[in-house]
Amino acid sequence: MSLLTTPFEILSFPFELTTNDKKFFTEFSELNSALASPGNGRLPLVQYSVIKNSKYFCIRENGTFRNRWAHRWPLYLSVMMCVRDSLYLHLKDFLFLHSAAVAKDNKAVLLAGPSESGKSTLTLGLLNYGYQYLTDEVAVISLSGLKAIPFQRPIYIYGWLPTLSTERRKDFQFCRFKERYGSTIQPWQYAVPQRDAILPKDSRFEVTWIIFPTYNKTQKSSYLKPISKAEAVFNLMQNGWNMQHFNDCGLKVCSELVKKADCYQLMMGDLKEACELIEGLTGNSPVSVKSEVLESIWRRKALL
Amino acid sequence: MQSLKKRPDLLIEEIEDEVVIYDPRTQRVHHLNPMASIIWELLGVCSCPEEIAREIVDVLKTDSSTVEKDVQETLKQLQNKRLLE
Repeated sequence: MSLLTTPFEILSFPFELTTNDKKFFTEFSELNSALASPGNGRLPLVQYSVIKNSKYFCIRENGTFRNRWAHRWPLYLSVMMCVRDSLYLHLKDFLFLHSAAVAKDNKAVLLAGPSESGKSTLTLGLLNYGYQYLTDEVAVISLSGLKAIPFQRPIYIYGWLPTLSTERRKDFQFCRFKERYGSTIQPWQYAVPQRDAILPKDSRFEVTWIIFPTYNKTQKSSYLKPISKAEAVFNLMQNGWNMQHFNDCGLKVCSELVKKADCYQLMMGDLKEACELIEGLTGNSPVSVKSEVLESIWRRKALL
Repeated sequence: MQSLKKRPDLLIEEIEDEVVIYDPRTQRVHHLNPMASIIWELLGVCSCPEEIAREIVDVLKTDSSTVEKDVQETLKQLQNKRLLE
């Protein structure tokens, strides 16, 4: 059986993927196109193999067994989780945060929080308001300059409902799949950034707003609450992917990042309202922001 | 007798009027609200909880019994989180 190999780089870190499954090879190249650059001849520091045998797809990292799957659909995510772990381990020039991020006018909005806090949903929602997609899961902050760097993996979202306006749908290719959890089957979709949505790898964005969303399905409306810088540092550090590598300077980096940004907690019940609140906050459409929210924003700004 | 010494290996950031502490031993992060932050600051200056409470009452001109209770409670929490020696 013939092997297919593709070298690629993420944040200039060289990887290589080898597989004997042509369909996965094509899928991997498509899903990775916005995130990775083609390899530039450097020797890969981490090699992955996805080899299909009679029953399973086996994932290995530098020859060591990492995972196996009976189906093709979890393979990309599974490999990318290994890739992320490698990045966290090897790259010391970046802070990786569990956060989504979007940008407008070169200013980034971080949406930091744990799984199921609404990051991906909010990210897709904000794309309808003209924001650029940076990431839905891993916010990359360069330690030099504390700027946000695009990490444009596909956006994964629960449910099959349309989430983007017709105008923005052309910037993303949507794929649907079903995941089995015990006896239930859950619908998922992912949005792969296409040409116009893909940002140059050397793009850098000023982190101007840091928002900590919390999704509450029993809540009907959404509201923003300013939080103190110290609380923001505390929250940010709890959402660090590689904070353990920055023992001596992680706290410093987070507090410097926070000092330059306005920080809020977002209680999210209604997506449209949440997006409008953020749009109003970032100075694009203040008329759509509720007056009491605006007042609290202005009060906060006056205090600062 | 309660220890009133901060652990010297902790990483501390004062941000506006609050304090964030990173404990490299446990890799935990702690956030002190403004009142707890004042008490934390006074740990380096005062020798006993009563003295901390007196300092705060003098500056804030507030009810001493409430402050004493806050100081005791905060010190207990700081000890439980092993932020004191």
